[in-house]
Amino acid sequence: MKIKRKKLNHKNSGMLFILPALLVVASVMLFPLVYNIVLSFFEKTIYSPEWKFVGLEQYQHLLMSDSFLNALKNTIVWTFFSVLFQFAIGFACALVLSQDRVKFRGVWRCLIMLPWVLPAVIGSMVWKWMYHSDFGILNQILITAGFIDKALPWTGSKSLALISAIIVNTWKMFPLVILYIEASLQSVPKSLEDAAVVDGANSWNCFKVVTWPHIAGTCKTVVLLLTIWTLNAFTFIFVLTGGGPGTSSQVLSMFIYKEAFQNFNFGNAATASSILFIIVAIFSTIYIKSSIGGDES
Amino acid sequence: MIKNKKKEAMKTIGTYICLIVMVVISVFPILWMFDSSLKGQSEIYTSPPTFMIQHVTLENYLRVLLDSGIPRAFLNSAVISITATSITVVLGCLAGYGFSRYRFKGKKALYVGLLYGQMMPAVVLIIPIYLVFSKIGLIDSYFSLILPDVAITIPLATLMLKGFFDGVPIELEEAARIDGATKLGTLCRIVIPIAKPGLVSVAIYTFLSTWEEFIFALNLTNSASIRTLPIAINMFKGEFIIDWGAIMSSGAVISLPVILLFVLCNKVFVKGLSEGGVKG
Repeated sequence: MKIKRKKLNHKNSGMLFILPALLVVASVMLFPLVYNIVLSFFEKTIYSPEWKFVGLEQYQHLLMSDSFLNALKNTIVWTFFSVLFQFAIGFACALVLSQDRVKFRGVWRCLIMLPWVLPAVIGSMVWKWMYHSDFGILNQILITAGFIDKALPWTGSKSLALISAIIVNTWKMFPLVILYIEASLQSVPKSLEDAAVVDGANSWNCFKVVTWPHIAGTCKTVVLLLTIWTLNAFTFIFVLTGGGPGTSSQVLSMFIYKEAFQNFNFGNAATASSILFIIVAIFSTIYIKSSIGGDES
Repeated sequence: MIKNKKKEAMKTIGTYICLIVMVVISVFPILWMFDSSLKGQSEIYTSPPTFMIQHVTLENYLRVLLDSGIPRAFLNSAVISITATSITVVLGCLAGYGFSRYRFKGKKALYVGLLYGQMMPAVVLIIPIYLVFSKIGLIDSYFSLILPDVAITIPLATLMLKGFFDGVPIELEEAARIDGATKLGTLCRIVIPIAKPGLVSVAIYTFLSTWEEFIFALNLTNSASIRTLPIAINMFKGEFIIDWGAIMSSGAVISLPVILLFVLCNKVFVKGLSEGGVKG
């Protein structure tokens, strides 16, 4: 009863606390988003500088254009493999790092986290230098180790450009996965694990029956977040390959950027970003549904 | 018994080998950056490259620090990142507190909106923001970067801080209220000190993201007096020639502040992030 009265008294104060943040987010996120969707129904190119209403024409046009479909295909490859590697490597590292026998865990974690701390531009630049076909250390290491016979062109080759970017994205983001998974591994009650071992479960069974149910929710969250971040990522591809060679590593974010700021085809770019927004919104909705559901329980 | 012990020792060795491999993969590119930055022009372009440096030289650093736009960009980045981080933390605290302690109409909708905001692709926002900013003459000002930086970092900051404030017992505040403290006073004097580790991790997280922010800086600035570090480093990249020595040494200059910040606050940061942010 007391609580109810108190909450009612401060009905408007809550809004006041939130208002400043709300104004910023509304003006820099909500308004541009709506504006962007409006723009997607108008045509504006370098030849027709006036905005002209064309309805859904640009959507139709875009969904049938080869360059857009190519970007969409690259986006799927880029996102799928980035998330797969980020999660698999991060998960494995978290399992290793969270063992009781590991001493100085904080130091190990701090070192492994460094790629995530390094600004994306710098990380991408350093990798671009390591990928260098003449003076790159990566080719040198791989040749010495006997994995390859001659230097690979990495970012300069149509078949390797996207993979090169996926490697950098994985390198930068897997440390964050470790942090998430480690935190959720800590929520697994030690007594349950011990009980399972006493009952004669081997480590795989123990993992499957005791550990997994406790961390499954976090894993789902992490995979969704990684998917959203990778769909939104722009810097890696921009610095490493610029979408090239040709359009071999052109993902949607790169496509949008080029349409807008190189071809000055703002209408088309707005249409493509609306489509990217819809894709991201689908994953976001799944994420938000599961995270709010988790909050209530 | 002996067999068991041996097995345990093997497992321990295996674990440490895995850890060393992980650390090498993580750290090697960063070491390679520092390594290359200390090599002279002739040595950096040798094939095959070696890790050992014959003549350690600071010429790349001198070129970057005395004869390039990097120092000015460093100042710009510092002003923009520190301002944006401060604003985000203050607004995030207020909003997080509002979400944590009050019930009001439309709260759930706003909360969901915030979650969507956290996922918003910057590339979707850049076109309309560019068009609006160029129309009202905001392009190429500190403000044109600080505002988007604040907006894209506020959602996560608010959500994390709400999580930390939820963990502060409400009884403490009630006691303070009875003693006559205002709502804002309670927040500043009771709630924030208790949630301090959370506040620190939010501040670090925000600083790291504004320090590396790329797409807004790329499109909303064009003069050297506003340009931030992630953009300034590209000026060593000509049409045909790339000055890798300068890029590696500016890379080192740009990374050092965030690496130091992270190493020094690592404990608080990891603790804060695993308690607050990781829930989602």
